[in-house]
Amino acid sequence: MDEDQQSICSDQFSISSDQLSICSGGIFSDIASVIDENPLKDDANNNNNESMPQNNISQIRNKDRRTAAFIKMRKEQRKEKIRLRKQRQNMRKQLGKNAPPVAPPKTIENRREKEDTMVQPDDVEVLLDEESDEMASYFERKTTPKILITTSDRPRSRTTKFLKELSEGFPNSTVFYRRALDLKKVIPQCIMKGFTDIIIVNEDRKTPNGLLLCHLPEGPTVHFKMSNVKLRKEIKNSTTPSEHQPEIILNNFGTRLGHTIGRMFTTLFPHNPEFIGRQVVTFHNQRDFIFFRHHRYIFRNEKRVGLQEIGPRFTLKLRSLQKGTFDSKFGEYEWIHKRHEMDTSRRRFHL
Amino acid sequence: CVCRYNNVWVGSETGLLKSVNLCKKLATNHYDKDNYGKEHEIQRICWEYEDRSVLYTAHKNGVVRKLETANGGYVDSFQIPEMEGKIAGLARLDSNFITCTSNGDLRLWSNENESLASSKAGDNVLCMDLNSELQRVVTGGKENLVKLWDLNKPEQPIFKAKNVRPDWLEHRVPVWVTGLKFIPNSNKILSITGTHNIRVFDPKSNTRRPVLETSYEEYPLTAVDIVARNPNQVVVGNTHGDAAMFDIRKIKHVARCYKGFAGSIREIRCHPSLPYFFSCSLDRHLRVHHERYPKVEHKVYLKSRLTCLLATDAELEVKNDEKEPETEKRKTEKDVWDEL
Repeated sequence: MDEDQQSICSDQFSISSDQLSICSGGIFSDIASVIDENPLKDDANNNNNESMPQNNISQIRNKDRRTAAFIKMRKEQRKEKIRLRKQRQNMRKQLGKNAPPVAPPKTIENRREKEDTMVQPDDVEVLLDEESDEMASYFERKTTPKILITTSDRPRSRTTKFLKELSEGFPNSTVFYRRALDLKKVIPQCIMKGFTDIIIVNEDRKTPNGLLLCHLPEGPTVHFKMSNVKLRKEIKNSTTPSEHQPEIILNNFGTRLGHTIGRMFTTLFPHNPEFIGRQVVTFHNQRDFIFFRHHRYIFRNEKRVGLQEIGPRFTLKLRSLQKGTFDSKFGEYEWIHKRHEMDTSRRRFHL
Repeated sequence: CVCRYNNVWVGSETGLLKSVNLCKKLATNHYDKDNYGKEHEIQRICWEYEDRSVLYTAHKNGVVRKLETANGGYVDSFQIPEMEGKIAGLARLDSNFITCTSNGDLRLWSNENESLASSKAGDNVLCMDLNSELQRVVTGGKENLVKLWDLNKPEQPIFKAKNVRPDWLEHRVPVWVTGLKFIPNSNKILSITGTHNIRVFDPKSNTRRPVLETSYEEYPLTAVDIVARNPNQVVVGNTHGDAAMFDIRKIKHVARCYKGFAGSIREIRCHPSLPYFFSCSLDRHLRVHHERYPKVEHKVYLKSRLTCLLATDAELEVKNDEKEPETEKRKTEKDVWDEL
């Protein structure tokens, strides 16, 4: 965690290195994009082919003999693996300081499938698109956020507590009891009263399970699945927030879709964070799950940073991004998560 | 070389026109200096009348611009007369423009900005299509029924559809035409609606109501095209990124559905000669599907939200030289049999 804390941004616009969107202006490149012919080949398959024995065990018809052969094969494989590892270790010892650096471990993240829409910091066309999108007025500092927080109908106590804690984390936000009002009737009233965002928390079996974020007056609307909600009381050593405006950290919102989502989160917080409050709100994206955390930090000395969680904490997963204000029936969707079509690879991420 | 020609021309919300060459796997931006940005959004796009060497793009601010596809440069620009609202349709007929705006101004005008004919098609027009052989135009929109206009007699529509009967709860069905197409070699009109219906109107029949009707999924349909090689087949797409093919002869059932879309489909265009279709969508991707398979054949990220699309009849892949002699051989075999 100590390393993480050193990346706290001085200003919320510098966000993080993954979401750099500032680049030098210029003329468009004539080439919009080049399509890749060969997607990344699967390394795992090649390895399997090499380690397969010459005669195929599955062709043995007697089950006992087949099992025995299989166990024998696995033993041999394991022995070979240990032998190679020892060999490597010995080499390392002999070379001493001259040994090559250890290869980084293979994780799902660093073997992520190549995503075409990953935003390059010097992409003028994306910048042009973002300059004129629905959130642009906030980034030009023409609007300041004013948030309405409400729930689905008849919230139970856990959700109301969560709402109260959530509104303490977002400056300039008010909690309203839903009063069985249609969202499509609420939205025009909110626009009239100058709200810039609506947050609706959905509840199922007495626990919050969904979050709808609608930017006003022109949209977009995002729908998240919410899980692992922890209230302030349930977090160890938690504390209460002060009235200072927090800083905001956005991590790993690298794709074009991630950029839009990241921009929507940014618009929830006022422009000038008050650093004296030492409060920071984090939206950390990892494998398409967005982790919300609210902390207070203190620099203990030049190297060490202390953290105290303010809460609440929860996890979000993007379900859909819709153009315009909330209209789930007739609205145009910019992105919908289609599980059976999109989740065919463990190494493919969309944010 | 076949690769020289671009496969698709795509208009975007940022006002940039994009051409995609799938053979070379290259996408190019076409734009005029100082004429891009959201206020120059390309809303409609069309070919020169019976000619694929020149295309016209209609921009949000009422400017129609001419582009030569050979060198990919804008040549000329025209202003739509008395332009208000959005552009619902753009077409080209004998060196004249036909435009329809969302406030119902259907107009035939020449290159010199001279209005030749105009008529009022009602409010909230969303779509328009031209039948160049019969010189007829069809319009429709939100609470705006399908109307068929003869360009030689623009005062009154020659056919005006009637809303369908109330539903099983005796509720009025809202009128919301989102796409229109003339079915080639017939008088029939195909329409798709925001109430997820696909309808066929026949102006020659006695009824003003649709002669064929079906529904697809439960979200507004946004895009439609008729397969050029087989006018019985229709491809539709909706706001949730679902696309399917229907056969007009068996319209009650989905003939084939297609996968791989992430966002609302804005426009679908079929390849004029090959069994492929192109689609552009709000998720900033151009996709190419084979008509017979659900999987995406090609997917191109084009960086802006895409609005409209034109397909050329260029080849999608470089043809193997080995294949051609085979066909020749077959021909020779046939010839031999004929001789016998």
